[in-house]
Amino acid sequence: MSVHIIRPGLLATIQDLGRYGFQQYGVVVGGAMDSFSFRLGNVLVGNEEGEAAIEVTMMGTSLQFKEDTLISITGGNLNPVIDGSPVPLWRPVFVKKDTVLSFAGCQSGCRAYVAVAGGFSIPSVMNSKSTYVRGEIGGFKGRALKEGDVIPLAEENAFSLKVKKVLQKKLKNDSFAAADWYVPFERYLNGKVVRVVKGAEFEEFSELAQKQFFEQEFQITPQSDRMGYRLSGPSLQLKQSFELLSEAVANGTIQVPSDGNPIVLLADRQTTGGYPRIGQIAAADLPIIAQMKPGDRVRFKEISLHEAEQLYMEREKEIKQIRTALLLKERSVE
Amino acid sequence: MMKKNSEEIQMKPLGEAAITVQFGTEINSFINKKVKALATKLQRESFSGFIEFTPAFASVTIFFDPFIVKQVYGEIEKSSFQIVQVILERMLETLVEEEESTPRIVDIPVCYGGDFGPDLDFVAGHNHLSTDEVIHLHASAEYPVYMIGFAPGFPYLGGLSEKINAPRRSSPRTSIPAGSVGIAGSQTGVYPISTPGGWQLIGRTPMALFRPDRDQPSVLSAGDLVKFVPITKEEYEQYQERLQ
Amino acid sequence: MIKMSDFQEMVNIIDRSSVNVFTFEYEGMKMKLEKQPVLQEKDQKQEFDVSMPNQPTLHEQTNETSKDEVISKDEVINSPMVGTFYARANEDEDPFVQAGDAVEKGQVVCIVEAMKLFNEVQADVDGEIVEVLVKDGEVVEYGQPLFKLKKRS
Repeated sequence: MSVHIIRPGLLATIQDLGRYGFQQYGVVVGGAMDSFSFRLGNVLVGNEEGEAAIEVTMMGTSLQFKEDTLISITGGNLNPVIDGSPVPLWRPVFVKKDTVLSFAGCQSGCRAYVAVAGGFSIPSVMNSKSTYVRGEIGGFKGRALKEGDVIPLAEENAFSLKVKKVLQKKLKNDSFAAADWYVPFERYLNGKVVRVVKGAEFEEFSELAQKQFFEQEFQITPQSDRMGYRLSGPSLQLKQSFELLSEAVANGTIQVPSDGNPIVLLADRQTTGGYPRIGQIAAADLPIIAQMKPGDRVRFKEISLHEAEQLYMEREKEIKQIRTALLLKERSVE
Repeated sequence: MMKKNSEEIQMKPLGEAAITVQFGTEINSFINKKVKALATKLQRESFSGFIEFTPAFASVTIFFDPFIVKQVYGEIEKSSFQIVQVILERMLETLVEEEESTPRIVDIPVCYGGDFGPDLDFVAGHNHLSTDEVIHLHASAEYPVYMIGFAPGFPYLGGLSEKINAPRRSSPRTSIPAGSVGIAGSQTGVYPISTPGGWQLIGRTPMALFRPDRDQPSVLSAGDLVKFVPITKEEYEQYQERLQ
Repeated sequence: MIKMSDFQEMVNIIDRSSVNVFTFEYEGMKMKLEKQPVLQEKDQKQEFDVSMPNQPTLHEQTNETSKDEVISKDEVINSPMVGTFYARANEDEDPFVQAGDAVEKGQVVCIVEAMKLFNEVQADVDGEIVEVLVKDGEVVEYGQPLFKLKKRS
């Protein structure tokens, strides 16, 4: 079983939840930009949350499934179509042998995940299958997917086989059959406001900059990628300039170089940074920023560390609940 | 300048899932020894919910999963940050600083200036020196590796002469070629892979500092001593040919 | 006022008794409970973990004129599970169907949420929606009628 890349589109890479344990050697964590959509995509097809899946960026990607396959599409709505018919997101979908799935372009969001039951059979590099394109590490041959690539699939488990069988029965003359159950997650992705905890150097910014950061709008510039988003908007100035010792940064750290334009560090961020950190995006809101694309506008809303932690807990509970519900569903469907 | 008492250990959150233990705000071997001691300790004994750590010049950042921390050490009134803080405080009480061993010296060949070092003139001008003086000063010191970070295998080096310090670029470059040698403030380093960055670039090395296929992917490790050896453009090209 | 818990208790008592039909009047509110002796195969297929087989079907009537009307099985769409009824996919979208709308077999008419999992409920015949029997966001029981439907012949 395998997936063939007919067209890679703007950017398609194999991702998982990231490469942990090597930041001490400067190795970038990487992994899915919108890890919540990614995890649910895997859960929907019966995989472990961290199984490798394809991250599709914005448009143009076309994939062919060489055998009957159970898949799910989650994340941004990039208008996935099979034979001209839209494919619903956030649910298990059975696709027939030789079916071609294409992404026509963004309706909402910026990145979609295609998870396949069983995951991809590719080697792990430093405990991860995620592609770090800049470092030429992991994924499929350490690079973004190209036309003609053939990615082998791993074996499906009992859950996947059962759901596959159920959906296969629903299939009429079409090339695919979607489940009538889904997880309503897109409501977490389409916000314009991102919640932020004050960063370690917040107090070093001028009073004006502190106010501007939480009150004004910022725009995602074209110099944005999986490593980070550069924003334009009010220029955020320090009370007085100072050189900071490089220190660890995290997914969602907002740092400000001396030109005053903030940079949001994302999946492929460097492990350490030396620019003052004005804020840290709450993990629960990382999917919102990860689904924004150049030109989109964002506002930051201040929350406390306590609130950020509570949001984290709620989101984790919700994912666990969905896992349980899907397991029960699998038992009850025939 | 923001200055804090370097004796004082501070713990601060980096979001809801990480905590930074800061031993000071200066680059010196006394503080760096503490960083190494905590890193060693974390490698030997971790805690439930621990993910990994990132050591830096004067700090160690510990990443954890708040959900697991709360589940395992479940105290309702305490946040996961507070719980991890207590665990780390206990670790700090019993830190053992390692005996110093003879450091390994690693020679890194560098072709200075020209297309390889577009900011060499800026660094020279900023410090009222000639470019040759900058090269001489940069290549005549031995630099201790304080940490590996920022990018795979990127060494942060101490010991840069005050005479050739230079501020970071006001806006980082979107792409810096692999092997670029740069200066930022009182730090110098080498970019092992092509990446965006804000350092002033003074030269380039043909040596690969990051080898993902090895068990220890970084050529340099904290504690090594680095020496930069000036080479010509011809020697740079010969070195590259030998690699292939 | 009658609370939901009183109501639940009443249902439980009737469930255990041999009574098949039970009518109840209180402060202008009229209620009819009717047991479903056998579940159709379709319902069993969609059975969820928290299903309650043999549970009486509830129908609340506040409309006097229809008080004696018994809704027959093929004219209602029942909830396949316990959960929250949603008439629309998103807050800012129109309901899937409203009274008077024509529906086709297999068309999605509403969503029932159980444990964060959204389940689409489909019409099993061609017809016309006569009445939406539950409010958006209301908790529904297994087998509870959600829509009254006029079958197209």
